Amino acid sequence: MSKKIIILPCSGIGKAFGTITRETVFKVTGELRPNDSEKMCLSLLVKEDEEALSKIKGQKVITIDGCAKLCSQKSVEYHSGNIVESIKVMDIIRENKGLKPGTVTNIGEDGWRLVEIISEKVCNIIDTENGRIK
Amino acid sequence: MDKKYCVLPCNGLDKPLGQITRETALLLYEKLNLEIICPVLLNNDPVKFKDTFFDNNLIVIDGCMTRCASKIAANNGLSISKKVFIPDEIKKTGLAPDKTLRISENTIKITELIYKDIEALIKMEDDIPTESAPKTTVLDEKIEFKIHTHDKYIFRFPESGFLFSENDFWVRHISKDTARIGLSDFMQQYLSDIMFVELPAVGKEFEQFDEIAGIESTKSVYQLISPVSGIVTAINKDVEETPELINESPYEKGWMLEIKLTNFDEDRELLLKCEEYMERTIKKINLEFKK
Repeated sequence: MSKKIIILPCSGIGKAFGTITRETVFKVTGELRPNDSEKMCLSLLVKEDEEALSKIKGQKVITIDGCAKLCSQKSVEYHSGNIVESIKVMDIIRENKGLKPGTVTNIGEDGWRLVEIISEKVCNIIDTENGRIK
Repeated sequence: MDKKYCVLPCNGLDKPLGQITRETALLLYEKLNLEIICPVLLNNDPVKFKDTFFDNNLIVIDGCMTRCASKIAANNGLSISKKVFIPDEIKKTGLAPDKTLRISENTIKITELIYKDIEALIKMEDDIPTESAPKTTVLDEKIEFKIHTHDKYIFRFPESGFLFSENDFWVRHISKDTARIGLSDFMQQYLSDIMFVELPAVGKEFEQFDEIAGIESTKSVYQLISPVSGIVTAINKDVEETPELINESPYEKGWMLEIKLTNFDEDRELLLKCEEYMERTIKKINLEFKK
């Protein structure tokens, strides 16, 4: 079984915060920690795709949600997944007052800065889980 | 643009064609100001989008064979105005998609071609005079079925637009506040030849799960237990005169009542979507239709 940590963003389509969750996942799984993480399509999980269900039960998951509905977190909880951290974009924005993301199609400089901040947080969680940070 | 549309794309996270799906939806949002429906939010909180779907025609965009967006629409009983399947659309462009998830110039080019195709389709519909092409209603749409075969019996389950009660009745919206009610294909086959139907009077008001009509077949007498609360606005006189229509065409010509819905938001919580109903019904079929 793969030991990669699953990074699961909300679908987030139609909202700037959703774009931030997706871009964070692309950055972490594609650039920053490609050997330690992998993404999963949330639609597959909510449609109870067998492969997605089996994977979610066997691996650690970091959820990233763009709005208060917390679709990603709730979906993993519903399927008894092992969430090691639930990240909410709104919390990160509160911690970084002054950063105002743009629109869903152009999240702007502040939006990309938020992607970097959240990506760094996710990488720290992955490294901690893998025993690289104590 | 005269007609109003909203867009339901798949999530499209983990595949290059999913990225094209999302970018196409965003172009429709940016250029035509169409509302984008988040597929997961729709799945988790369908009531939030109730008004959107009554006010708009629905365009569904799927990026892969899993067709998550179509399935989510079907599970919520939504009527789809246009289905866009990205692999087919890409073939039409003659271009090869990238294998990366990042958005390249090639991806943008493909997306713009697909967008233009959809835009042209929307505009073409707008250009058709209303007299010669009346607005398509839910009832004009072809019903697509899932099929379950058991011995010599073939059971049909409408993929979308219908919700079911555990008593084997269906409800199908025909406008914002009205719906049709009928008997499922499974139950009409179980009852066998239907010989007599007694329908309630127009104006009769009832609650969900009230007994409101009688059905008599060669095998049994059965009560129509309403899947929803409402007031009868029309009855199908053809069915009263020719009850076998229920056997011949349970989901179309064999509808029984039209009603004004009075408590649908709550009633729907006790109704089943196609896949759930099919799963439960197959168990009944295995019990009742022994090979």
